[in-house]
Amino acid sequence: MDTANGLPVPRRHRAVLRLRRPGLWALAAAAVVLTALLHLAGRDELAVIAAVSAGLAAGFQVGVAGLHRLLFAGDGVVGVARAVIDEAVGTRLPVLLVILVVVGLPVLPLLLDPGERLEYRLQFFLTWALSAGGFLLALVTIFLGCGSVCGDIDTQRIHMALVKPLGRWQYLLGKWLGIVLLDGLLVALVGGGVFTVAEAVRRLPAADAADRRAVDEEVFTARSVTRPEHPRGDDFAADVAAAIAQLEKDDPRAFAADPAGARKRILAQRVLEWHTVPPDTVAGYLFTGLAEARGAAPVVQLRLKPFADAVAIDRAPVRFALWLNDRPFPSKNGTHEELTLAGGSFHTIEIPTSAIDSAGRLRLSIANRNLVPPGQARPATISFAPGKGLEILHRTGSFRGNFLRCLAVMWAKLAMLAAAAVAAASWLGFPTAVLTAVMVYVAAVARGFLADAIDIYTGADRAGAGLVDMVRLRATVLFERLDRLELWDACKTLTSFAAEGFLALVPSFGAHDGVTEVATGRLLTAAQAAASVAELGLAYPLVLLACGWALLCRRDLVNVSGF
Amino acid sequence: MVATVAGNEAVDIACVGVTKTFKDFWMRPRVRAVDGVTLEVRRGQVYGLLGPNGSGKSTTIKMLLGLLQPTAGRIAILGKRPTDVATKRHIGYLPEESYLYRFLTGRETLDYFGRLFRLDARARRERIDMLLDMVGLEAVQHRPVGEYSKGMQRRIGLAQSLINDPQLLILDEPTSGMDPVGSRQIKDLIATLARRGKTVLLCSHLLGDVEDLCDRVAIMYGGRIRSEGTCAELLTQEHATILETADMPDDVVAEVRAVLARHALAVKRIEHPRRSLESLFLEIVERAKAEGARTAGAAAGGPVAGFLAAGEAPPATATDGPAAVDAGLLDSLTRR
Repeated sequence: MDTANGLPVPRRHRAVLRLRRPGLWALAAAAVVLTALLHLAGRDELAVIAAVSAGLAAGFQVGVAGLHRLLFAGDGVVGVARAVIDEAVGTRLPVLLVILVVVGLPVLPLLLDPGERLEYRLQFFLTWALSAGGFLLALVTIFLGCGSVCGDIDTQRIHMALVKPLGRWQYLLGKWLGIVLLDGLLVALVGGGVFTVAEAVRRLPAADAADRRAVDEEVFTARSVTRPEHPRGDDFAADVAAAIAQLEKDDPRAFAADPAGARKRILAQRVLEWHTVPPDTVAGYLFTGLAEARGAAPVVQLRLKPFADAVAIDRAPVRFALWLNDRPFPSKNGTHEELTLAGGSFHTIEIPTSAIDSAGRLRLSIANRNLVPPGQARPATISFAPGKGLEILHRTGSFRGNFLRCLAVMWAKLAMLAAAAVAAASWLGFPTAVLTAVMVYVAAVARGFLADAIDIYTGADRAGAGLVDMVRLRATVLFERLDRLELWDACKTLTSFAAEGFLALVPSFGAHDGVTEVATGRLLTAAQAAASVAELGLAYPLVLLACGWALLCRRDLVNVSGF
Repeated sequence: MVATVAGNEAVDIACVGVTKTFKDFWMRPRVRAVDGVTLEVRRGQVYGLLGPNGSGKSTTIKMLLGLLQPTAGRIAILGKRPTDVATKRHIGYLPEESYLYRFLTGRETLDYFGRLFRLDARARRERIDMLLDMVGLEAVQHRPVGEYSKGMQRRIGLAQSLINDPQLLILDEPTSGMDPVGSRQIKDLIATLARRGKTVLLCSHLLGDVEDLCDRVAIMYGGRIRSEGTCAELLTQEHATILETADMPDDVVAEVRAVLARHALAVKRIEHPRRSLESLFLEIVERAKAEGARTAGAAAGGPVAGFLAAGEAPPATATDGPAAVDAGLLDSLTRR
């Protein structure tokens, strides 16, 4: 070092060119060569897939460099975030994920049955690729979040950070930010790969023209869903009130135990009845708000799942006739044709948009034309599952936009998981923290199923009651069981209390599902995606990190020896 | 920032009755690592904390740094609570082990810690260059820290503790794992910082180093301070006198004995002094460097980095450190 006035003068920093993660670069180069060879051999569909591999491997390298550049400026929180990214890449966990995706993603389409309809193959690929990608990313997030914080505490690296002017909340926020940014990169890579491969699969030959149309109109699209409006007028309200009063009179004890649940059950029963078409009758269902659909495409899709009630045969045929705004459909040569569909399955019927009136309304009339089944006295009733059992889908957006919003929702879920992992690790050791974060993930993914399982376990049905009602219901059941000295059942109730309390704190990932929407060409609206990002990507992490901070502030960061 | 003054000198570290009891999972007290420690380190002092393993030195330091919460007692560091984040801008800390990210290079490690101190990019780059040169790691700055030897990791640890030009430097076993050249550099560094009015809390097993460097020393055992004072107070043996002269012929020795005998004194020991092994070692290394011998490890290191050595002025006028207030910290802590 030179000196001037007795003081050292710093030399210019000489950057050294280092090839980081050479294995990934080699993989990218190999994929590029393979792409060129496949293109020269005229196998462009495979060349695209090889190019995806090259793009993923190179994209990861460039992405990590980009994150470094993004975090070039900034101090405490950003410094920690940058170190987390370096640490994560250093653990090779994200690299392993990228290699898995690079190798696995192109293989997945090859596993699809070429004899299957292209529509189903695409739906299968999109569902599995995005679900598996989300699952792997969730695991990577949990291990990185817990490993980063627990590793710092175990090795006492955290001492070096917290003796600097860095608050504990800044430390945790930096950890979370680093993981979330890396997740953003990985989601973009996985999403980009899935999208490109899906586009390549789309170019494969379809089974027939209908299959090709289904691919274009039911998968590579974004369709809004319209369901029939239930006429909840005064008559309906009076009917429901009368039914409730009757129940209260017939079984006052059961009603008093869970009045909200009883009310919801009666309401659900009435809605189901409305979705039912008895034999030799015609039921009308009014769909509104379809004005936009009239000019958007020549057809809309009527999606329905009919059941033939009281018929003990799986997929028993359901026979009915349709009218669209009082015009028979379909009619061939002036003859109104009846339709026969397998019961218990979803079916799609294309409806011309010309059938929709200028106000955007479509009245669907369904006549039950079932025949008398063998051994029965009268034809079966036709019913549709309330909700998804009867709906009209019409294009309102693009597949690409839908796909991007799906990735945003996926990223938001990972942000929530990252916060859960960081918060757990701020208090627990690595194995326990991972277990806790995995529990949160499982509970979030399977919240509905777990709630039903708890109901079955305890023998109580809360029928979608709210939190307060649920607590009151469980307390009533608990005291009843204690009063009858049914101690084992009382223990089960207490256990369910704890489990339901935990579930109440965990968001439902099922309520923020973008994968099904993308695979079935249903619109995931920007408002839905924004709500998911706000709830899962911001609100939950904020609360979880605050909890983690409170715990970390009370924790002695030294493992004492000598016990 | 508020600092405190005891007499005419600011107090950078003050502990009153500090106790730390570690508890087990069931919150039962298991180990009392520190027991009623009271000490005071004034601005510009080099303060030595001595004691055998398990005597509570490191636990005391970690409480000073806010990494542990005391079970009882009060601590003020630069006039603030140990958990005060802003105060840490003025503190440098070298732990007993180098807790570093193995995948970061030496330069990236210093850059990371420079960011935590909110140093701008230019200041970071300049200081990193100086510190790497100072600790002799410039040639290996782009190698991951995980590939460093223990001594090299200690050197990068030392560099990170200085990147903010701290007013208060806390060194826990700083020469542990260091070769004699590095050890000597640390001693030179501490002396330089002390001349510049910085406060140094030194925790070491090497009693000779502590004796050479420290203004005051506290000796701990069993979590308590057993003895505390200046080196002169603790070490001077008033009952004996040592005279050092050039080589003395035998007849002169005999005359001296005779003179002492007239005053009823006897010579207990006469011997030639020996140079220290450290000075011999350093001389050999310097000679090898002068001959241009190569080494694959850390270089011998450069002078103390400019930003650390510059302006060796009394701390009372320093503007980058804490300001003084007119109240005795120990008194104020006791009153609370």
